[in-house]
Order: sequence, then C-alpha cells, then structure tokens
Amino acid sequence: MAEVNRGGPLVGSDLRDDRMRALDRHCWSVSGEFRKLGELLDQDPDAIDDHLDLPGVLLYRFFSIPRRYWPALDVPPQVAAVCGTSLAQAVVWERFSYADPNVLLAGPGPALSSDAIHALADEEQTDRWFRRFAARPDHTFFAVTEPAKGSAATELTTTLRPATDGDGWVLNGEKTYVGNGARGQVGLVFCRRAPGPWGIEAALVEASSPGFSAELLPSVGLRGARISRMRFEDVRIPDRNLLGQHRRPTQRGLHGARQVFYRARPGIAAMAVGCAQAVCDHVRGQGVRDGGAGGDRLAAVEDRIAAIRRLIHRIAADIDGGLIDPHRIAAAKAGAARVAEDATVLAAELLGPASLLDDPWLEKVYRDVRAFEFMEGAGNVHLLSVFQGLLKGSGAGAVGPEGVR
Amino acid sequence: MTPPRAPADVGSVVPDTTLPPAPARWYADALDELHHRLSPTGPVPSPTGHVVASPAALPAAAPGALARFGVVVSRAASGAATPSAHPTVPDPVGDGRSTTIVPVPQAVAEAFATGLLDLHRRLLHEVLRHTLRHLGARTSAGTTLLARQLVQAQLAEVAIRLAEVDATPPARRDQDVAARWRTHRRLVGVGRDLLRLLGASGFLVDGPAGDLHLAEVAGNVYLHSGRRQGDG
Repeated sequence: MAEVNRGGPLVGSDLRDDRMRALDRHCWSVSGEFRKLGELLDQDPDAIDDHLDLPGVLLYRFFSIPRRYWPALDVPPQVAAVCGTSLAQAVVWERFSYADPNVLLAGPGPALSSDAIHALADEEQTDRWFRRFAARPDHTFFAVTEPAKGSAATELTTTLRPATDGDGWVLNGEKTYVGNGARGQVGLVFCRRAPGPWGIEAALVEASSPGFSAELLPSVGLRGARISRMRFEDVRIPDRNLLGQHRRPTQRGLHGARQVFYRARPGIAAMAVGCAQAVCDHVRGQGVRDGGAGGDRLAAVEDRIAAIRRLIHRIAADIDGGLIDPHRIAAAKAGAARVAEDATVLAAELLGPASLLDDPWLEKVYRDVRAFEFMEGAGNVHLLSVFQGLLKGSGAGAVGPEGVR
Repeated sequence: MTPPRAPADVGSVVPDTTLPPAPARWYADALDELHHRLSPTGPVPSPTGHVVASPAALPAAAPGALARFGVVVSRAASGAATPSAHPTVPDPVGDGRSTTIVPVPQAVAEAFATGLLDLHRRLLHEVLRHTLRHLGARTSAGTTLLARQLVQAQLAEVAIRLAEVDATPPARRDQDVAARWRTHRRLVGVGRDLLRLLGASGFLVDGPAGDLHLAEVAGNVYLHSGRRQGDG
C-alpha cells in the first residue's frame, strides 16, 4: 500500500498566510492514517464508525460548525481560527484527499449543508442544526438531483404541499446521486411549493420520518461518499423545518442551493487536485524521473495541477472576500476533475503492465477520481458556465502577466 | 451491456435510439467466451502471468477489488504466456479448487489481445447507443439533452473517433503490441468521454461504467506495451 509521504509545499499556491500554512501542516499531521482507512472504506464505507475519534475525522466534522458550538478540541488555535473559510476548505480538502478522499466524504458532520443553513435558516434553525452536529457524529445529506432532471435545481419536481390537517407540510418525490442519502440521519431536501424558480424551498428532513426511504447505489469508486437514491412518500415536514420562511422568495430555496454549489465547487476541485498530486508523487516514488518520455508526460500533468491549485486558492480567497465568480469557479472545478482523471490514466500506463492489479492503491484512486467529474455539477454544466463568462468578459480566471485574478 | 456476440467488424453498426436499455455486466461473460473460444483447455494468461476472468472461470481465485465488477484475478506462479511455463495456481483462500493456467502459443495470445480490442469496440458502440437513449430521455429547459448542440458535438466527436478506430488498417490497429496499446489508449479515451456525457449514471457499477472499467483493466493487464517507466 502506498504511504502518505510528508509532502512538500503546495506547488503553485500563493498561500502566504501563516495561519493557512499552519493549517496545511496540521492536516498533514492528522491524515497519516487516512490511506489505510480509505482502503477499508472502499470495502465497507460504514467502517468509518470505528474511527470517529481520529483527529482528522474530528477536524472535518467540526470544520463547518461555528466555533461557538465547539467542545474542547485538540486543534491548534491558529488552525481553529480559519476553519469555515473557503480558502481553508480548499487546503483541508486537498490535503485530506491526498491521503484519501473517502475518509472525508464518509465522515460525519454537517458538511455542505452548513452553507445552506447560513444562507437560509433563521436563528432557531441555525442553533438547532449546529448544536445537533456538535453534540453527536451524525451524517447529513444535501438532496437536489432528481432522476430525470439531474442537478438542474430550477426544474426539480419533488413537491411540498401544505398538510391537509393544517399541521406542517407533506413531501413527495425522488432524489438520486445524493451523498450519504442512505446514511444521513438528517439533511436538506430541495423541493417545489409553487411553479417557477422562486417556488423552490429547502426543508430539513429527518431520515426517521415515516415515508422516507433510501438505498445505496453501487458506485464504481469513491464509495465513502455513499451515493444514494432517496424516495419521499407523504413525508411530514414540521413547519419549523422549512427553511427561510422569514426571507423574501428570491432569498429562499434556490438561493441556498446556489450558495452551496459556489462554495463547494472549489472544495471538490481541491479534492481532485489532492488526488492528482498524490498519484503523481506515487509515480515519482516508483522511480519515474524527468528526462525520459514518461517523466516529461508526468511533469506536464504536474504543471497543470500547480496551475489549477493556484486558480482554486485565488477563487476561494475571493469567495471569502465576498466575491463569487461562478464562471471562474466552474473553470477550476472542470479542470481539476479532468487532470485527476488524466493523472491516474497516465500512472497506470507509466507503472507498467498489470499495474492496476499489482498496485491496489492505484486501482482504487483510478476509480475514485472519476467521481469529481460529476460532483457539484457535471463537466458540461461547467463548460457552459465558462462560455457564459466569456460572453461577460470574465474569462476563466486565466493567468495574466500580473498573476492570477 | 449486451452487444450482439457475433460480428467483430462493427463499423456498420447504426445507433438505434428506440432500443430499450440494455442490462449491464456484459463484459465478464464476453471475456469468458473469448478465453474459451481461443483456449478451450484453460484461460489465457497475460504476459505478466495474470488471468482476468469471471469467478465461474476461475473458481479458485479469491474475490478481490474487481469482484464487484464481475471478475476475479489469478496469477501464474512463474510466468507469462510462454510455452515454457505450465503453472498451476491453487488458491488457499478460494474454494479449494485449483485453476490450471497453461501457457498458450504466441498466436493464441495475440488473437486474444486482438479479441480484447474487438470486445472493447463492441462495448463502446453499445455504450454510444445507450448514451443516445439516456440523453434522449433526459430533459432540461424544455428540451432533451440530446437536442443540445454541445452534447451533439461531443457525441459526433465520439462517433468519428470510434469510426476511425474501426477503419484503422489491421497493420496499424492490432497486429503488434505497440499498435494494440495505441488502439487501447484511443478506446479508453472514447469510453471516458461517453461516461462523462452520462454524468453520475456513468459512475454506477451496474451500468456502462462497470463494463468499461473492466475493459480498461483488461487492457492494462493484457495489452500494455512494455515495462514500467521507472525500470532502469
């Protein structure tokens, strides 16, 4: 099994913040066991239950929970101070994914849904949500995608109707390709209360509710994500679980979904880059050197990784500064997914005949990275977004003489 | 996937979007059939001595990472597909039955390698049909994804590349190790592009992704052109 090496600095990164560098070092120090655990999760994703106290798993669980809810955690203060930011997310998710992305995705915690809570929930809902996840290691789901519609959030058909007895709401419909859908104890389900984009709502749904069912889908890889199909048959939603009722329609359901997508995509891109870097380092560790044809092809992939990492860090820093450019985010995410695939295919070639049999870690990461293509929007969705950016003159976040912007 | 078993020449296949979806897990059966057709006395080992086949064909092999895709792996004790080695592989963690891995003549090994490429091409034609059906059934913004120019162009690109592989003269497509490896790499690229068009459904074991993963692994095992780059 390949071991996690100590790693070098993040090539191409513009990180100059001492706290981010400290976070990066901390992630290295707590992810050493992830690669072995990742192999276990490939066989049984629920094996994470035996490792919930690992420092890295705990850091991921609390990363997106505001610090005021944290119990006493063994996390350096300078690291704790940056948790929750988009740039920190990019650093953490890349480093953890370098070790193994399955651990991160199988781990408990509010994860993606936290951004939607921040964007939509009222004070009581926010407090209830984060207290729950701080108190116990629950898993959550974020359900948008539907079988016939994909992740086109504006076209979703899952319905939310007022209960005939006047007590809350009733949810009906189906979602698919939802991470932790068959494992999460609670999550957000996006549904339609009225026609049009502003008729979309987000509801907190308990998996224990009557009428809720979910099944695991047999994915090629990244089994830690526990990609699932979910069905809702007259699932009762208490009024207190409908998010954003205090907001205008334009700031409700769809707004929350978009906030999650914009903030999650740099994280997914960082995961892909982490895997790609791990693969390249693994191949280097097997003796492939610059100068030969194989080494030069590997170096070309490493060049792309460094460039995409730089794009990710810049767009993440911009998000933290309040600037969201969906087109640049799309470009980074699409590029990261592609380079991760390319790195694994090249590795299987460079490491020789039957390398996918003789090198189990390579075979696993070869399967895992393909998920990044469709997570948080498929490649074509991002290509179209990049094109829309071109029309608007924003480009794709290209590097100019003055550096990335 | 269930492409028709017979014709090796698939250049004339016309995509038919009216066909119902095909069941998955075709590759393992087709691989067994190829083994049996070319080497009735036992499966064909790769140059590294590995054999990839279904559990039915390799009953002694322990389930491994590929078991969920429908195949298992055995490895000859010493060797490759050369006439000099006659290894037998008892597998202590299997069901106790041993699998005899007999080397095959060079001509059989080469026919097997060419046969793998034919399987891969047949599979890709079927996945292309499946993709047309899938995208024709998916709607967005009041139309099917198949009606989108971006999607149409990507499918056309796939069709052109696949037709080029089909039309490549045998001398350049599959008559030596280097040609077979080049062809395999081209087919892997075509398959990846199709799976991207399938979105998340292209990541499920019980769909095209499972069979295409096996085709990629089989190529890595049986068709690879040479040594690892780090060796000397």
